[in-house]
Formats: sequence, structure tokens, C-alpha cells
Amino acid sequence: MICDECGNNSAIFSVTISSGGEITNKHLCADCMKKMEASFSQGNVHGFLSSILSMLSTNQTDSKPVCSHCGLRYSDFERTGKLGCAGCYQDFQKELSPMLQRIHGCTQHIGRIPDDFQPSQQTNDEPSTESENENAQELLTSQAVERQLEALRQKMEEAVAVENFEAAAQYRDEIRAIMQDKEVGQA
Amino acid sequence: MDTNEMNVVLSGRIRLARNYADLPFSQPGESKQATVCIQRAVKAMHEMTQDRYILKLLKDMSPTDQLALVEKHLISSDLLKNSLTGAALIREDEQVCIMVNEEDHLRIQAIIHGLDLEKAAQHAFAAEETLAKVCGFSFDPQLGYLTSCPTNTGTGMRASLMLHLPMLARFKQMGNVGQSVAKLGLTIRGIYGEGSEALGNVYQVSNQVTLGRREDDIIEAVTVVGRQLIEMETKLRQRCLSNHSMELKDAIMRSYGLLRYALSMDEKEFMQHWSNLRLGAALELLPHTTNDADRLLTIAQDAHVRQYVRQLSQETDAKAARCRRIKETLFHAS
Repeated sequence: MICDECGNNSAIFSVTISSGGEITNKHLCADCMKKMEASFSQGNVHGFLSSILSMLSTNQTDSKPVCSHCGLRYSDFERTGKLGCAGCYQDFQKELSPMLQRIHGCTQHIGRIPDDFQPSQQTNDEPSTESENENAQELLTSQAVERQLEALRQKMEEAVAVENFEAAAQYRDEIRAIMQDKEVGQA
Repeated sequence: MDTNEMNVVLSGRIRLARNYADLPFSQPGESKQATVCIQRAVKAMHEMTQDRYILKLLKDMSPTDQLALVEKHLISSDLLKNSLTGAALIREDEQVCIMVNEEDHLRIQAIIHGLDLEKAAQHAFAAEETLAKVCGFSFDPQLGYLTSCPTNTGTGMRASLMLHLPMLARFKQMGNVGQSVAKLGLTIRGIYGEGSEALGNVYQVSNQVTLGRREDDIIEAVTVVGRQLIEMETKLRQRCLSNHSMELKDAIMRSYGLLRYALSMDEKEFMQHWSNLRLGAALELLPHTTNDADRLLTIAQDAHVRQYVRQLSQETDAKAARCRRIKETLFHAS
């Protein structure tokens, strides 16, 4: 059995915590058990409590979030403080929102926006005419296709650079397919 | 920059954390992805700007040379944890540096001599725009630029000032200052940032909050606090000079004597005397400028001294080499 705390070593201890009538069992490796004992024996009640709380929260999250994009467990993030990918922000939104509020006092970005950020991703409060919408949609679609092509070309070059020719061939085929669609559309 | 600013401020820095939109965040030991990040950054900075950037791959450098870059504040000590995959692209004038494969794919830093953080921000954003030409960055309309650690999310920007505050430290004011700046969403740390000691009474004041504030507002907050600290430090220096003149001058001159004549000195002791040297230069009690002191700060630190020992023909102890370096730099003597 793997240690519930660090997720790496084999668990050799079993700890039972009774809290508010609920009983929780945790399995710990020798290192994590030592850490917990040390914080307790040094009278570090805060450290001891926080390790129990973190164990309880880990227990609660076991059945909950795992990032669907990169596979990171929320408990791993609690341990390392590092997220795995941009998708973690979506999948752990419920857990991260109060944390961001605590750290920054706010959860809404008001700073710079990348030049190539697509306005369609934002709420548009301004009413616009149907033709304007169509034109904008066309423009966005063509920009999106160009960006997709550029990204695929880049990936193809990178795959060649690391001699992953199978992946490079796949990217080449995808580029060809998009170029054919584009030509058909223009015709 | 006015004299009071020059007497207290060592440098200003803007750092932007960015991650490529199509890749997971940096993973320790993930070398293929790390290679991709380096290739993209190199492509941008070697082909899409007229500025000349020099690529440094940590794996090709000795630990001493890596640490020397930390001492120059060009890279962070955290980058050294990724010594196999970490890299830095350093602009020829060393005012802009892009760390690759640190906690985030890219950490873009611009450093200036003085208080002009807006100018540093211009340099950093110019480099950021060049990097984005190769591949866009992870961005969310609500959360801003997405970073590996949620403490940097939003603007991904850290604005910081490195300040020499010997009098505020001597009169035990730094605790109060720390509490006050925390209320403004800022923090004060030691010379090498997070978790480091304030060696030589050098402190870094920077923003803690990155989400929900505009970049301009962050820069303004750090600058305003920087100016206040300069004013407080300057007043204390003047007060100390009139009320405890002998004590203050004696401490400065003792340090100056040791820097001039000592034959062996470790880094911690050097930093203590360096602080007095810089204070003496600022108060015009010594025949040196604060710039002389700032130059010495970098070259007399451990890794730079080890680099210097490497150049010497005979084998020299590092502590002895430090004293030789100090004499060469300040007194043109060996």
C-alpha cells in the first residue's frame, strides 16, 4: 500500500483519526510518520494540527479531483504547490477559487491581455449586426486556421528536431488536410 | 536618478512568468518538453529580434559558473534545481534575461540600475512579445496568465527593488516595515529573494499579489513603497550622522581598514564590511562611489571569487583571493 501523505513510499503505519464523530484511517510511510511524530513531540501543535488537517483534506479529495488533462491529483498539488497544466485551473476550479481569493484577495484578472487573444472567448455586451457578426466570425475562423497551421508547423519542426519522425509525419498529414480544406473553401 | 535614490537603491527588476499554451507546465526530468521550450525561446530571441541574446545551458556549465549567474541576479537559485534542463538567454548588456524551464516555461526578467521600474517593464514586455511570436502563452480571461504556482497567476508579474537599508536594520525597523508593506500586498525579503538572508543589509521589496491588479498599479505600489523606504533610510542616516557621528564613522572606517588590509575574509564577514563601505560612500566619508561598492558586491561573492581563483596561476585559498580581489578593485593594489 502506498503512503497517503507522500504518495511515493510504501505505507507501514496505520493512523486512526477521530474528528467530529467521523473516523478516518490513514496509511503512512516511515518518513511521513516520523514527521508527524516530530511535530507533535516538539510541542508544535500548529504543525501537528495542520498535518492532520491536510491528511483529512487529502482524504476528502481522494474521491474528487484528478485533472482530466494531465492526470495530476489535487493531493499532489497540495503536497508540491505546483499545478500540472493550464487545464488544472478548470478541473480544480472549486478548490482553487477560495485559495486564489485568499492569496490575491481577488479572482478576476484585470491586467494585460495577449495580442492574439480571441475576443470571442470573452462576453460581448455590445450588440452587433448580423453581417458584422458574420464578418467577425469569418475573420476569427480564418485567423484560427492560420494559428492552427502555424502551431502544427512548429510542432512538426520540433518533432523532426527530436527525431520523432512518426509524429512529424502525422503533423505533416494534418497540415495537408487543413490546406486542402482551405483551398476548397476559397474556391 | 537623484542622489538619495542612488544612495539606497541598487537595482530594480521586473519578472514575468509565462507558459506556452500547448504544453503542460514544467515537469522535473521531462527533457523532451524542456528541449522544445528552449528551441522556441532560442528561435524567438535569435531570429526575431535585433538584440543579441546569448544562450547558456546549465548542463554545459560548471556549478561555479551557474552560481555566478545567481550572484549577478540573472538567474534564480530555483533554476539550479533543474540543472539538466534549465537554460538562460541573456541579452548582451545583461539587462534582460529569460530563464527557461524554471518553475514556469519562461521567466522573463529585466533589470535596471535604479528606481525606474517602468523602463524595466518596457524591456520585459518587448522580450515577452518577441517570445510570443513563436507560440502563444497560456491565458484565461478570468485568471489571466496561468502559472505553475497559483501565487503568480494573473499578471504573472513580480516587480522588485533591491535596497540597501543599513540604518533601518540597525534601528530594528525592518519588522515594522515588513508588516506595513504586507498590508499593501507587498513583501520584503533578503538579497536573493524568497527565503534568503538580508546579507549586507540588502533587501528586496516586491509585490506579493499578482491577480486583480493592473501591471501599472503593481509598479506604482512598489515604487511608492521604495520611495518611502528611501526617505526613511535617508532621514535615519542623517540623524545618526548628527547624533552618533563618532560611532557611525568609527564603524565605517574599521570596515574600510579591514577591506584595505585584511588577508583572508569569508563571504559573511565581507558582506558586513561591504554594507559599511557602501554607507560610507553614500555619506561621502570615503573616496569611493556607491557604484564602486555595487561593482564589488558581485565580484567579491563566493562563485565570482572561485572563478577568479581559476584564473590565477598559483593555487590560492578563496578567502585570500577575495581580499586580493577587493584590493585590486578598490585600491588598485594586489
